[in-house]
Amino acid sequence: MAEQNPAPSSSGKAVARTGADSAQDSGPGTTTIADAVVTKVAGIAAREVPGVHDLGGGTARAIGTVTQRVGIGDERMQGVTVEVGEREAAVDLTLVIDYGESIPQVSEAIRNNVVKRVEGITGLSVTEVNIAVNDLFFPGDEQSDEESRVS
Amino acid sequence: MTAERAASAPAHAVGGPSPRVQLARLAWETALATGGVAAGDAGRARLWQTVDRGEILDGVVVAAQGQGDFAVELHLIAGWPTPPLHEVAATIRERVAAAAEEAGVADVLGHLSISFGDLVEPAEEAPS
Repeated sequence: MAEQNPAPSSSGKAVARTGADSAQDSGPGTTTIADAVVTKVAGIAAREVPGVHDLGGGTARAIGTVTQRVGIGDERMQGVTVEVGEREAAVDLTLVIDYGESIPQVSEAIRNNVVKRVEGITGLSVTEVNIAVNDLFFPGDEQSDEESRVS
Repeated sequence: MTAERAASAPAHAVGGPSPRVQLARLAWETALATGGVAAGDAGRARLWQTVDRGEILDGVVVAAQGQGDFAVELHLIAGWPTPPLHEVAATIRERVAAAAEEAGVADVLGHLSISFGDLVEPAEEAPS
């Protein structure tokens, strides 16, 4: 597979792009891992960390709710963007954290878990995990949405 | 196809599946029985399929390579928790080779490519 020019991730660092999914020659055949798989692994890994309430920005979550209802969206890919090369991947995450959690500690735990999961499952080396905390979740937020307007 | 390879290729058993379909069936069954694989992926256009006596095997395509052997493509969906996918692929390759040997079609087993196009969690339903 011919390598193309490196594509910058959101932080400006470059990941060697192949223009296609990650592929490795395995002797008598090739093994290909789609970008969607890397995206889902990163999304699931982020959600595994306590303190992470949801993934995606406000608009992404609003659109995601609609697209999931009509069956074309996937919650696991919301708020996750990956740049996947032949051997490396860069991950950008947008997320909502529970109020009261230490954002630096949660971010560090997310970074470690995403690197561990993506490297362990796909064999790709994770060059960076960029985290954007987009919102804070307060326990009352969900209740107020569900409260009836009439008694 | 060379004369030697053509002579060594297994003949079509009358009434039975062709070596191509035999390879598709054994590769497909082996892959689905391997840990970390949730389902076969027929693709959006449903092109990655093989029909074996009326049954559709999603996620496997077997095509003659012109040398008497057949290239096998497995299009798979991984399941969560997911083991290292390159190890899953290596296990599938070993098991398919062993199954082909046992079935007497090892001589016609060519290039085996494996692709993981998606990942599903247990709560998520794998596309059929």
